[in-house]
Amino acid sequence: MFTIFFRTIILYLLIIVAIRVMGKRQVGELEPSELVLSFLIADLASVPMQDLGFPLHTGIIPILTLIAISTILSVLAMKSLAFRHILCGKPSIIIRNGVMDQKEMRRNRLTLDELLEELRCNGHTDLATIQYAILESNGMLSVLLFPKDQPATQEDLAKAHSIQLPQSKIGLPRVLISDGVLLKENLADSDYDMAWLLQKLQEKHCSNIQDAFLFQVHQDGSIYFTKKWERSQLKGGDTA
Amino acid sequence: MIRLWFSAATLCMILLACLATAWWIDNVAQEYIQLLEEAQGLVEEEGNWEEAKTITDSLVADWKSREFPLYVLLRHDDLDQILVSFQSVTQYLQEQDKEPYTANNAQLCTHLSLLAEMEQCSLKNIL
Repeated sequence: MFTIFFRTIILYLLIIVAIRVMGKRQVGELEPSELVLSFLIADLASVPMQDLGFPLHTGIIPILTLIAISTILSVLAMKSLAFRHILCGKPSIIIRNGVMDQKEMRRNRLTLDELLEELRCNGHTDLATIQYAILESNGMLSVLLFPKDQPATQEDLAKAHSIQLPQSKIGLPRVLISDGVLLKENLADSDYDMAWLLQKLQEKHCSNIQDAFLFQVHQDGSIYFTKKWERSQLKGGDTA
Repeated sequence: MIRLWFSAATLCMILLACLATAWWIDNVAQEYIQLLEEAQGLVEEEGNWEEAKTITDSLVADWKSREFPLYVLLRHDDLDQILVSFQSVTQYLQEQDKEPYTANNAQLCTHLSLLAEMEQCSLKNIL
């Protein structure tokens, strides 16, 4: 058991170091420690499952140990900025004011082709329009354009044409019925009551709540309603 | 902070469980080795096969009564190997064949010693 316990700690720390050394590009969307955790847990769980010669605890102890270490590391990372930088790394500015930082590219082992590919994936083909491109610690590339190259917002257009923008009434839509089930908490939190809901359902030719698939109400009172399909429609794959 | 303390407590509990297991296995193994060597001494010095067989049979019965915790905690292959060794030893005791008995008894003691050693917290085991 000691062997398993200590080997788990050593391997976990070792793989975190290895992933950090590999650089951000290899990590994908997960933080390095999360990536290691997902790799190891999947692998560890399979060992006692496949080999009955190993007692169950040879899978349970390493997984519990990993989760405990991971929790401790995440709490410490939350508390300390320095620790967070060690564990997760820092974002790297790859393009600054339209100029590529070749030193940062080399440090992150990011080739020019890979950078251009990432930029194209983000919809940017002209490097001169990019004020900042930041390689985040989760491996994603964030791009910030120069103000003059950013798409116009409603406010910009209104200013350009001296138009007063109407106050937006659209907020977070609230789901009141989900797959035939009334979400009582959502209804209680909204400005509406059961009588209003039933009336709206009747207006949509829906006799009861169980027949509604989705009933969503927006802040401005507009609703989105979808009726539940009949069993025959589901079986026939009719999407009408 | 609760998550931090809970995780730290989990790690401590696992560590304590490891220590307890290592201590228990070591005690069991030492007890068995001592009695097996005593039985071997009876055969070698006094030729008392009957007493040696009684001691070894009681050890086999005791081993079987502890099978559940042993199989939960230790690798099954190692435990199976020890059980096979026990059977060889009792067979040679029954036949009163001295040389193979002493050889198998010594091998069984080594197996038990290795089993206990494998669970100890040592740099050799970890690395």
